[in-house]
Amino acid sequence: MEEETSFDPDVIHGIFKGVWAKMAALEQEKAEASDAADSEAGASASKRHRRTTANANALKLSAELLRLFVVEAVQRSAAIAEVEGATKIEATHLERILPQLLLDF
Amino acid sequence: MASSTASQVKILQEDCEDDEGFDWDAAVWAIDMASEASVSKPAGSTRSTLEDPFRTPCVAAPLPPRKPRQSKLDKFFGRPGVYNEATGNAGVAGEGRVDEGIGIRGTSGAVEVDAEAAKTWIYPVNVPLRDYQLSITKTALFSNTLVALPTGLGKTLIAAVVMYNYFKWFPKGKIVFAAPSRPLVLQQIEACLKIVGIPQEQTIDMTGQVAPAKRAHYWKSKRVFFVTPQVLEKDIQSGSCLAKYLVCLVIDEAHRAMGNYSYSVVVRELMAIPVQLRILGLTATPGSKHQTIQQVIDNLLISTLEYRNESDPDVIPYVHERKMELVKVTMGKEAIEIYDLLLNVMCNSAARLNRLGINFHRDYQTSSPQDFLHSREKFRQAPPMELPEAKYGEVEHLFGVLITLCHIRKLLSSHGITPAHEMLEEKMQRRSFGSFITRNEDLRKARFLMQQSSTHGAPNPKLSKMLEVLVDHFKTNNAQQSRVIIFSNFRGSVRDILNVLSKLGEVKAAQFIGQSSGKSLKGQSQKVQQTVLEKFRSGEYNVIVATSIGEEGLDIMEVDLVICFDANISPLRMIQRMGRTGRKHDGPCEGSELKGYLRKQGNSKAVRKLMHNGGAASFNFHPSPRMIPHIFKPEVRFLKLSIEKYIPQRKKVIDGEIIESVECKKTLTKEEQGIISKYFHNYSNEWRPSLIAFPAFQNFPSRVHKVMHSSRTSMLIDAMQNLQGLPSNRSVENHHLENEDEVREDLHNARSIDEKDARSEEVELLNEDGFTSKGQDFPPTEKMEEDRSLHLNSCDPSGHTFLFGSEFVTVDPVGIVQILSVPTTLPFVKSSEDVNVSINSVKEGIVSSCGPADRTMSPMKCESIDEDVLLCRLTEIPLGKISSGDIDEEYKRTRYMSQDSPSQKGNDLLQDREDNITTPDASKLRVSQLEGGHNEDQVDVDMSPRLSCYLKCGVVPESPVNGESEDRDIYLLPTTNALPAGLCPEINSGSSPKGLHAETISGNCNLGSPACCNLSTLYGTSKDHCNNPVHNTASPVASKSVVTPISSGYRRNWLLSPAKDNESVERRKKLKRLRRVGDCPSVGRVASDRDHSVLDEVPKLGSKASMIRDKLDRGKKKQMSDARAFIEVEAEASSDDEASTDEEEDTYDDSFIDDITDSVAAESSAPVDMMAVYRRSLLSQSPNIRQLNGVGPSPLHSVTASVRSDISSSTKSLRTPQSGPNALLRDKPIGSTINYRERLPGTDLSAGVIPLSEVSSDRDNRERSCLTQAGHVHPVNLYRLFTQTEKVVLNKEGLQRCEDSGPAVHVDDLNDDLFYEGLDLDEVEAQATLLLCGNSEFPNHDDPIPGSGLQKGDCPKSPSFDLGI
Repeated sequence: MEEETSFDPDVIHGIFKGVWAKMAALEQEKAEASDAADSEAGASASKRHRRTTANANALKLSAELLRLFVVEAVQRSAAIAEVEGATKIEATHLERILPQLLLDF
Repeated sequence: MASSTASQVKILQEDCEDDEGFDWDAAVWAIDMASEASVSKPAGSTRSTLEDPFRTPCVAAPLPPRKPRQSKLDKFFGRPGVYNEATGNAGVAGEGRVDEGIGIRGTSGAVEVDAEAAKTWIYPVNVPLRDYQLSITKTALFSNTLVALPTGLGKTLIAAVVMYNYFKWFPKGKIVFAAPSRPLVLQQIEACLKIVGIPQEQTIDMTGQVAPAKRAHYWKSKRVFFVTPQVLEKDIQSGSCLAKYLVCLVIDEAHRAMGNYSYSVVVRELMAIPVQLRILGLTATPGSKHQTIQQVIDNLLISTLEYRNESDPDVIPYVHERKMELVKVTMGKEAIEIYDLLLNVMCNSAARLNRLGINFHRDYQTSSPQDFLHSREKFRQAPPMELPEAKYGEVEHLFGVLITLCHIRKLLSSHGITPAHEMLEEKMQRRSFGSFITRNEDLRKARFLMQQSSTHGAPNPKLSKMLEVLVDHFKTNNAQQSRVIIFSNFRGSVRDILNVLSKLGEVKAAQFIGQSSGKSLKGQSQKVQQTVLEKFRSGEYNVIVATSIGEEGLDIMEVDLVICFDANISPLRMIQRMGRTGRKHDGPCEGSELKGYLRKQGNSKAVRKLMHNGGAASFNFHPSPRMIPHIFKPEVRFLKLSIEKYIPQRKKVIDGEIIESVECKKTLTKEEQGIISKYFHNYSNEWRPSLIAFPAFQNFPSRVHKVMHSSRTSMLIDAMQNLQGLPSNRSVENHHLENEDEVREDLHNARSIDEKDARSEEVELLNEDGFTSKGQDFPPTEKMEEDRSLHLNSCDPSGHTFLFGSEFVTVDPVGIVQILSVPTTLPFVKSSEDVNVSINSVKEGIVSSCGPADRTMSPMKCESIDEDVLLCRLTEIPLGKISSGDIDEEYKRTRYMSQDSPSQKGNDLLQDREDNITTPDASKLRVSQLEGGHNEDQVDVDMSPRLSCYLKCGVVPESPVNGESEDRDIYLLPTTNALPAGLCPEINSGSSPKGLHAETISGNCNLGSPACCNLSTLYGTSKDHCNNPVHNTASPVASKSVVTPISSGYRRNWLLSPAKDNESVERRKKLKRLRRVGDCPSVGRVASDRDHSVLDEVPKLGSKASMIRDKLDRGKKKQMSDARAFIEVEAEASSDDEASTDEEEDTYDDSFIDDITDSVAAESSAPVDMMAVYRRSLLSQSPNIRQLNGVGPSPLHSVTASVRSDISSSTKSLRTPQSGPNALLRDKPIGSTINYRERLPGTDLSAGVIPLSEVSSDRDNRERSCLTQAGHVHPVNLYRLFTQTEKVVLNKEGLQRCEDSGPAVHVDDLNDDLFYEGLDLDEVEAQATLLLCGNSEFPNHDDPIPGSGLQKGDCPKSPSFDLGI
């Protein structure tokens, strides 16, 4: 059941795009400093600043990985919370498993 | 009729999904009108009668017969009611209905007409109405129309309105707009959506960059498509385009629909399906010839030609004033000169051609390359009869030259010298032309001139003129607002122009060229083209230098100057070029080449005439389907009104929708994005998950759900444990005794143990593999042994993996590899030993780790020899506990194994296992004892007895002493072995006491090799250096001991001073490793019949143990000796192994063999072998030792028995040693192998604790001593000392590790992973070689060894090792 529903690749893509756009903007700022008035710069520059993309399968895979990550995080946090007798996962529960979780992924 | 239509309307209404904002008033009104006018004739279907269109079926051919097509139309449009009404209730009704029924369900069932919408057609009035647009639109709605409008007069609007109406009429119909290039597609989609309110979510632009699968999806989900014809063609062919739903096809730049261009293909394909649809062609330049126009009409099945030119009355008001300026530029002098020269060349060539019988009917001076091409073609098809075939080649060549020259001349005239020169140079590359040029005087001259002019950069007059024009233009126009397009036919000149323009300050120019990459110039990708256009629009560039790709369709409003750098092009292209300007402003057009231009102007005028009046008289038109049932008669006028009323509103609504829909569909809405950014932003501000908030939780692996912990996590946990609670205990101890590495090792071991348990199965599998290999290596090994080895292996692998993590894992493979290699070099011992040893080593490592900790932790352990104590220690330290638990488990396993194994071997195995198991404990105990003794006064006590022994030994010649010492050591080992063999605690306790006793007694103390070592060390320390060395050597290896004594004496001095901690730690580790190795070998022995290996291992262990002991006890001195001993032992072991395997000590071999033969003895024999190896080494070093060794072999046999006896009773071992050196040796080897192993671990542990410093000091001392003793040896000594001691240790360790792979690695990793790893293979090999040579060498060394010579000998030995390495 869990396996069948994953994140919507479009949403993931949207998030990725946002990150890429930010990264691209940062890079462009750097690049523009050096790239002054070259009449042909437009041609070469646009190639350089080609946006990062991900194909459909990559997005699906990313979505699945993120899902696994989230599930794992929730489950581990839940385990911690259970041990503590809490019925609600708090941020602190997450923090306890976070370092190892991050290393596991 | 009205009622019927009404009902229809209702039905259709339900189907209609897209009639939002529909003008219901208008619709109702239109319906009324439609019902009133029973017969309506579409304006388009001028030629066909009502009947005809209905009956003519569609045909796929470019020139389809009308009837079939019309019948399809019939089917398509026919609806029962509609048909009746349309035909005015004529008798046709029945027939019509039949047709319609078929049609609706057959061909076009899916495309339903929205009856309400179909009553009107909408013309947007948000744009100022132009009559000609309206009338053309009306025509286009009802027939296939080719719209030929001058550029900039709003063809796109017509198309948009037509599309919009079809969009409305056919709620499920698909509408396609095809434009020949991607930029145009994008431009048109925008324009169309701006003009009419087609919801954008129904719209998609598809080019070749959209994956076919995606396109197929879009074809299903969208309704309005802006595509390139190639995409359309492909998708129709692949079937992904739902062609049956197509109701309208708009073709931009329709003049391209020639031949097999995709436009033509698309229409043909659609007709073949067949599909009823409206075709609308748009072009500014239908063609320059009647023929071509007719072709377009045929290909697109056009039934109406709507033609306007700028002089038409209804168009004139909307035509921007466009000035055409023809600037004549005369060629420069040089250019003319070259031009003439080229002409001369051409004359010559033409004359030659003429002589060959090929005649030109025209003056070659004015002929174009095309003329020559024609002539050549003619020649090829019908060569003159009189011309011999041999001459054909020459003719072809001449033609080629002429064509080339023609081209160059053209370039020269229109683009200047530089491009022409480049062309010439390029042609020169081709051999035929090159040779021609070099032979031709005129051409050479022309070339020279061109070279000259292009190098000194004489400006092309055209270029300079163009610059003038540009400068003037920008003077009068705002450089920011004005846009200029410069057309050139040739990319080379585009570049030249750009270069020139770059010198103009206010001109920001960009090139705009096609995609294809030539030899010298790269093309622009479409993305680049897009960005160039965008920037041109936005004003970043104000000049574009374009090739022909800029000619068509680019709608750039602000362009107010177009410069055609070469006007000698077709009128069609000139019109297109000129059409780029004057869209919004009046702007001039400038041509710069007159030649040919006027001629072509004339042509276009003629065409214009043809097309006038719709071309009705000139062209053959095709019938076109009526898309809207005749009952619906959308009236223009009314619709206009209604449009005026409603369209703006709808526009607004739709515009709003468009914006929203775009955002919704494409990505997240702004709202959503806002939420996300807000959420994350706030979240990050409010709370950032901390990674360091709960360090305590990182001390152990967290519970996992489905994702297991990674190696990195385990590393983190290790690190955290080191840094925190767990490490605290260990760390303190470790810090005291050992380095962090050791602590890590302990942790690793502990973990490894845990992991081992968890992964035991896998490990077992691995082990099995290992076993198989081992088994192969050591066929003699019994099943029991195999089992043991498996168990051992299983334990080991797991330990390895865990301990070392990924790196370790690599190590494992390496170890395996090494093992493999080792077997080759050191056949049995290594491979078998590796596996076996690995287990042992693991155990040992654990034990050692625990042991050290224990030792360090509390002397209590030392005191308490019992396993319980050990366990307690283990418990004290979690790791230690784990290890102990593991050990226990291992013991159990071994026992079980032994139990399981019915064979005698089983017992042996059990014993061995027990021994092994006990060994750890024993080793621990021993270690503890040793440590305790060392740390406490016991050492002193030991020292004294040992000293006495040593003294005795010392008194006796080295060889005898060695032998004695060896015997003692052996005895000690056996005793230890015996202890392990017995109940672990008991044995341990017994061994420890025994060892103590033995120590006190005199070297007999078997408390283990460590004890012996300790004793020896004690002796050494207390007594003379010589004595000590002797003793030491005796314990580890005679030769080594011999060497060591001397060195040890020095070492003592030296060692005492050197920093013990660091070195000691390292050395300890090494020692441990060595011990482990030794243990491993012992295990190997037990597991497999590899007596040699076992023996080797045992010696190693023994040597290690001795080393450790020495180190521990005497610390520096002994360490030195130990190290040497280790080295030697290793070498010896290797040599022994080799020898044993090969011929080595006959006695030993025999003994080994015998042992092997003795099922029980296998393990013991292995130990015996080890002992023998030691002995051998000793013997080799010293004749006496050899003698002893010789005795040893026999002992080996006895050893097997003795081992048993040892196991049975530790006292035996003690006794045996006491009884006689030989017996002792034998006993020791057999029983002691395990004991040795155990002892070795123990010693290792002890050594690890204390010895390291000692070892280091020993090394230093040795080195120093060596230096002092023999200056020449110094470097060697240093090397040897470090390398030897370290390497030896390392080698041993490495070998052991390699062999053990798992445990060894662990130890190594903990201590000197790098060293070991790096050294291991080499060392192993070296050791092997050394071993091979070692026998001979060692003896030699031994001979010199006595006294200082011994040290020297050691040094040489070590060098020999190094050399061997």
